[in-house]
Amino acid sequence: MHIRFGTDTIKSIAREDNGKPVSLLEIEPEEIMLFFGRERESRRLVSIQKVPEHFIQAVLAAEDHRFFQHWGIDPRGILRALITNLRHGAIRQGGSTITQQLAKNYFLTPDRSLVRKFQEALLALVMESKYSKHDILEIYLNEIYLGQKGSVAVNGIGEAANFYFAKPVQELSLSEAAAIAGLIKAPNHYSPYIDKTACRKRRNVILKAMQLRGSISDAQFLEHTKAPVTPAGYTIYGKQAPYFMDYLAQQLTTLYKPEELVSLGLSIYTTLDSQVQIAAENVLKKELSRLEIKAATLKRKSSDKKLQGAVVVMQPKTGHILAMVGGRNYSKSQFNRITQSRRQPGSAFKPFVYVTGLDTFTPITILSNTPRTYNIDGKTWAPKNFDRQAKKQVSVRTALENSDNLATVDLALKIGLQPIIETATRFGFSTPFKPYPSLALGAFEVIPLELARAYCAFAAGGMMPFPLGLKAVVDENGHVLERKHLKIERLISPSKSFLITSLLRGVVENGTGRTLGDKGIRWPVAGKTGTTNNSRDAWFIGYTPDILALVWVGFDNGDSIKATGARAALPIWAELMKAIPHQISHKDFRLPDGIVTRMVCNDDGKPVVSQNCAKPRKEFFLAENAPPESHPQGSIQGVFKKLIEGIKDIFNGD
Amino acid sequence: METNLKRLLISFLAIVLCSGCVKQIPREETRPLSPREKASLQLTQEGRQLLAEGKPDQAIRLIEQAIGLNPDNGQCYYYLAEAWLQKGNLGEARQFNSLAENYLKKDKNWKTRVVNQASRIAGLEK
Repeated sequence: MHIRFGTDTIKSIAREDNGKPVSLLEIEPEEIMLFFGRERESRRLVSIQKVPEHFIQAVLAAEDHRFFQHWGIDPRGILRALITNLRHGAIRQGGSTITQQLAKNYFLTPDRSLVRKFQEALLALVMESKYSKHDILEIYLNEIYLGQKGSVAVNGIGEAANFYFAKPVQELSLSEAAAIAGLIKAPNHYSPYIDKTACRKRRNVILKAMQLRGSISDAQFLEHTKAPVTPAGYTIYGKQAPYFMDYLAQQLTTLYKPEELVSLGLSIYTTLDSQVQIAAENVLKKELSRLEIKAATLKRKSSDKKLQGAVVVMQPKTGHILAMVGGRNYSKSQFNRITQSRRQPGSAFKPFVYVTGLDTFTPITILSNTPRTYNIDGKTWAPKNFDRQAKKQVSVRTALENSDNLATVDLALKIGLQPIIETATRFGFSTPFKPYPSLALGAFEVIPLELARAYCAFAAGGMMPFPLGLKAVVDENGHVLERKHLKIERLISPSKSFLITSLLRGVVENGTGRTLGDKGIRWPVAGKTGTTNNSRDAWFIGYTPDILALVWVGFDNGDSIKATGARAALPIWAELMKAIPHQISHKDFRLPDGIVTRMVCNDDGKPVVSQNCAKPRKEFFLAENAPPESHPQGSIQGVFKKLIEGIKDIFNGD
Repeated sequence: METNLKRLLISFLAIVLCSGCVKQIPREETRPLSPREKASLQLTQEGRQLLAEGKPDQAIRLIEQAIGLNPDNGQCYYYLAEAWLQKGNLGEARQFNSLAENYLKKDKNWKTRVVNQASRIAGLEK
């Protein structure tokens, strides 16, 4: 192939043999990750011959110094453990030999029961009768769990040597070997990446045990206990799209047994767009840090309490998930806030109220925007508007653009709460909604992925897609074992979907999302902000005809972020869109049949009937409930009408 | 007489105005296709070929790829409905036919084909 490049684009692709232009060239898919085992463990197998003697001695000192003397179970070890545990009144020491540990890891569940212990001992005896001590040790050293890099388990000394010290096992120093041996007891507690001091203390305990047993000299002990623990750093283990991979892995386990995933050599094709994914990860990190810099109250010392955020990017017409970022830092928290969390959507839920009412209400229907107290199950509820200066009466369009709570509750009660629940259920929310007026303001928690998917229906002309992450599974011979197809469902008519999109474009052009224009987004976008009580959650869901992205910002524990969706989530959306120009076509939303336009007066939203209207504007209506066309006196239409009537008179004459 | 003169004058003015209008109507410009649109069309054509060869599974794969590249390509939905019809999945065929209708109803030729497809689906559903 001959590829000619422009400044930022590929100018042309042509075949090398005949020079014919090629409009489509499919390149080898990017490899995101490899599945190695049940726990997605990564390992490098090491032969026992290549393991240095000091490493073996360190492992034996740490776990089972009588390994070469016992037959699989060690009565002395069990007795010692029993005495220690009785002395402390709790389980402080296990009496398991290396063979027992291997039996447990390979064949048994990790629960601590007497029956399980008995099975473990029995299996250990069988293994010892069938395999040599060196075989057992080799399997153990390649199997043992030695820590975690993100969601991937580090198994075996080969992988651990590389992960912690970036070298092969045979090159590990005595102190490094002792540090790894020390990890076996509690890999994530003693990990040098988590706590260097704890790791060093544990390493020195191993070195001391080795010295006492004569495996190392006093001089070696002194020299190596002084050495600091210096891990290599694990940025080299950066894993792409970890939250997405977890989401995918969960789906795959419903299709295949874990053993099959490991052993069948399957190729798994996904919908992920790695450029969108990288952009989403980078933008989220950068913007959350920016928020913390702007407001010091958002900073938290503890890494598990930090300000969080989540992003999902979808292709609304296909349901393809192009990017998924379930949190700020996967290595610190694997909780996927897109698929696993349930948060109140706040005003981001309002479009589902408005779409329910479209058969009866038009964008110019006037709603009451005055305070009211509601009695719900004996308790009073008095919603408030975010903007205390809001008008007492507003049109449906203005209410959604400005996200007026009082007008939305007025609309919801006029529509009826049960129909709104039915709409929400049809739009795929799994939330058990109840007919409370607060439903209209997004008081019921939803799963962010479900919210993004529901908005896809507005972006895709009323068709809601099934969210797709997995495309196909192909075996090592190239046979397709599983293919996930595009699945869509019509929820609302194209005209209703267009009308909601038109209202949501108003949000971005005139309402709570109008800052989007200042951030350089100058193509047709519809979107909705969301902020929950006490600013616990900030949302922005925005879409074009081609792409939809949902952004959530908040604290896991529900602390206030002291910012609205427009201030905290919308800038992330804007930066993300600017970072993925290849996904933005700048196309406008298609005007479907069943939509008519009328001139209305901007002041009160009523159809233009006189020349007194200061700011007439075009409004969209469903054809079935549009107001009649009006031609006010003195308007252009009025003048034309008069002229045509005059001409008719002349020709009809006399 | 005065009325006849008025009628003549107005008719003359109307002809002048209308001729001006004709000149004012701009020709519909053909927008150059974006690379994604081009690629989508090519995949659709390949998918259509596979359908003609009676290979609906392979056709679905290509057409879905085509939709991924340009979801506004209405022909994709028509052929996708056709592929699901070949596979006997009428539910899916109906959904994609409905989408094809959204995108292609302004194109006379395609509109007829989409309507015919809808009738075929409805006929099989009975």
